Amino acid sequence: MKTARKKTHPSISKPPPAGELDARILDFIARGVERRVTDAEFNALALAMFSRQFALNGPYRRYCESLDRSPRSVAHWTQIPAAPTAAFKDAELTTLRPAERTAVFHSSGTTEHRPSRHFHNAATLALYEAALWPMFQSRMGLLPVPSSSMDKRDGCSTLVILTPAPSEAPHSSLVHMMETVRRQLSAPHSAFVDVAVLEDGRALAKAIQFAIRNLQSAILLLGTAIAFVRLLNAINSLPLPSGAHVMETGGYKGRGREVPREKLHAQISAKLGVERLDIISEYGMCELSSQFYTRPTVHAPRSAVFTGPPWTRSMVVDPETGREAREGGRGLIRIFDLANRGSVLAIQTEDVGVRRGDGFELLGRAPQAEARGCSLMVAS
Amino acid sequence: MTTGQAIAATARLWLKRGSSWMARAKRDITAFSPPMVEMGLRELFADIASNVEELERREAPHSTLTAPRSNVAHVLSGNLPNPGIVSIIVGLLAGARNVVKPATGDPMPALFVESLAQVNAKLAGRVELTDDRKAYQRAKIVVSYGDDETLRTLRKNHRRDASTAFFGFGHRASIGLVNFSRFALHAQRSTLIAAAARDASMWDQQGCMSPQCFYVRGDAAAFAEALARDMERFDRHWSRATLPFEDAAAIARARSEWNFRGRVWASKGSTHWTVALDERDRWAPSPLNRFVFVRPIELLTTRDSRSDIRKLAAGRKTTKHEARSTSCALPPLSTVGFAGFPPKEIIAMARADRYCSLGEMQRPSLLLTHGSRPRVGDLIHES
Repeated sequence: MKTARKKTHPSISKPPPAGELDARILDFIARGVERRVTDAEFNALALAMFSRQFALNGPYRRYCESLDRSPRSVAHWTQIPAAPTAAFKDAELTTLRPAERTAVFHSSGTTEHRPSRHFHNAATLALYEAALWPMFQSRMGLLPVPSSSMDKRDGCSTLVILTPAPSEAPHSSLVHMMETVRRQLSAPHSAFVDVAVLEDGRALAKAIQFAIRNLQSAILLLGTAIAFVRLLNAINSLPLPSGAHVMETGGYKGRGREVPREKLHAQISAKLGVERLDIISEYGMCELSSQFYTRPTVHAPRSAVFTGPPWTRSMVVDPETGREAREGGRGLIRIFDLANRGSVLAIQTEDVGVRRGDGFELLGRAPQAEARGCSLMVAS
Repeated sequence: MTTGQAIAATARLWLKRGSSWMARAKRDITAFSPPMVEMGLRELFADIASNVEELERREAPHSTLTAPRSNVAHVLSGNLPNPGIVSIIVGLLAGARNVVKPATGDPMPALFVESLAQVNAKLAGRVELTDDRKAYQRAKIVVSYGDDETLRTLRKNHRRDASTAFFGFGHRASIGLVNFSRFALHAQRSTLIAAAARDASMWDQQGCMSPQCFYVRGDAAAFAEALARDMERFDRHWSRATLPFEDAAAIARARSEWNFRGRVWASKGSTHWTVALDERDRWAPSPLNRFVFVRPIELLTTRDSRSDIRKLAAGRKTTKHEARSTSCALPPLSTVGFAGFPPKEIIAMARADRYCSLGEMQRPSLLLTHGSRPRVGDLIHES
């Protein structure tokens, strides 16, 4: 029997300073997304970070103690207790003192009374931004050129973002990501479509038409799945200039009609005239600091396998046994993200996936069990 | 032979040592482990054998085997065998012709009717098993079990005129109320805990009479830890069924969440049983399949203020406290099992269709007149 026992651990050695950890993470990031981080390298940094998070993140430490885990007993990153995403709603899962916190990302969703909260300060936000760009750049096929020259180059990308602007959604991690991308590309603020048009497919189409008028360069069209569904429902055809790239992300948050990813991408390709190779999906959440992307190739243009940058690891965990699923097996997705320095590096998501190599195929949110009935409710 | 006598004789066939009917049920019912099927059906048929004739005397004293009065349709859910069998029995006692739509893949109604035919073919002939929607839509009376949406749809489709009747048995939850501090002796505590573990484990918690939470006066953590030991013991003898992925995922999610919010005792390397101690919220639904909460009873007895509820109903932005209160509302209750409390105090704490001693929650008598089955008199009256 696995028991829950609250323990008081003897004091552990002083955790590594934030600055030292940040330098090590930034070193990983600086190596680029194509260069592998060895398991030993990943493990060393993960354990150091776990040690800090255990020491400074009170609710997380209590959680680890209830599982009988501590830096003394954890020898490998796979043993680091993964905090459930739901815990970000209940507790302030952070190593940052209240006075240090300069930003907070909330989970979205229309029906949530209590959103998840992921706190940041300047340093962790800098990590977040440093971590997101190389993967985005790589997966969108952007050339690694200095951002300052991006908007001046012939043939550079024009950005259209189908999300609210930062001023409209200051606590959205997705919007912050989009804003970081916009700044990296030196695109104008008008890259964000007006928030008023996001609910209206026809208005979205007009906004895109306006953005691509007289366009000579390629377009990067980024948006949520629900925004794409609205757009596609409103148009028969809106061919984008050649070389266009599309990134869709996120679920539907209970709004609108769910369209399977494969069907959505097929419609994007058919109605917007974008090659399947140039349509990618992104997987991220406010509780993480790094993102996962699909990577279509000539051999697998419809690949639905998400992989992350070298400073992350993902596992697909069999819910019955708690062990990692076999290759091709279903399970709950668990993410280890070294860029999550200020909160918890191991996150247990509520998403179901299929294990594919060192990545996963996303199937969707794990359903809640239904109530069962056999007692008189209605008689008429 | 009266209808009741024929049904009692059928029940005895199931209870016979080496019963071929029981063997077939254990083989064909895949939603539960064979030991669980045998134990559950033995209890069901023992109750039927003991009480069906008394039920006939009380509710249908003039029932005969001639001239069926009317058609009663039974739309069954497959979560556990008992309600469907009892529903058919009540329809037979009412003298009705019964059109039964079993849940997909549920072999039990067919097995029961087949065993009834061995005793009395004429009586068994009054039960037609069918998937034909039209057959049961034509019935004058519909008795239906299932989720809220199914009931709403069936009720809407069935209400053609005032002469038709619909009895729906939908979602309910059950709880246990335990005055643990009243049980000081080790032996007393052992009996109490074994009873609670039985209630929480029987039929893998699939019925509406399965407790989802025990509210405890006294040391709730000690109760939870002891309950975990007995749930493990129960699982060794009557193991839980292998779960579909979705149900296992729901338990994994809930374990993870409650490990954070409270304390969890759980089977290792499987999702077979889980006890979660929650000292914060009044209520949260269990993912079932032997996942039970233990809460201090104070969480049940503290009421939300009416103004908070009005604010929530008006759709106003909620404060943290208000949001918590909404998530804590108790659902409609089927059964309250209790130990160590006087009945008056129990009723003041929780309103339910049925109250019983701990350990008896999953053993509703056929003579139970309210809540879990249609009354014979209702079906006679409506026909």
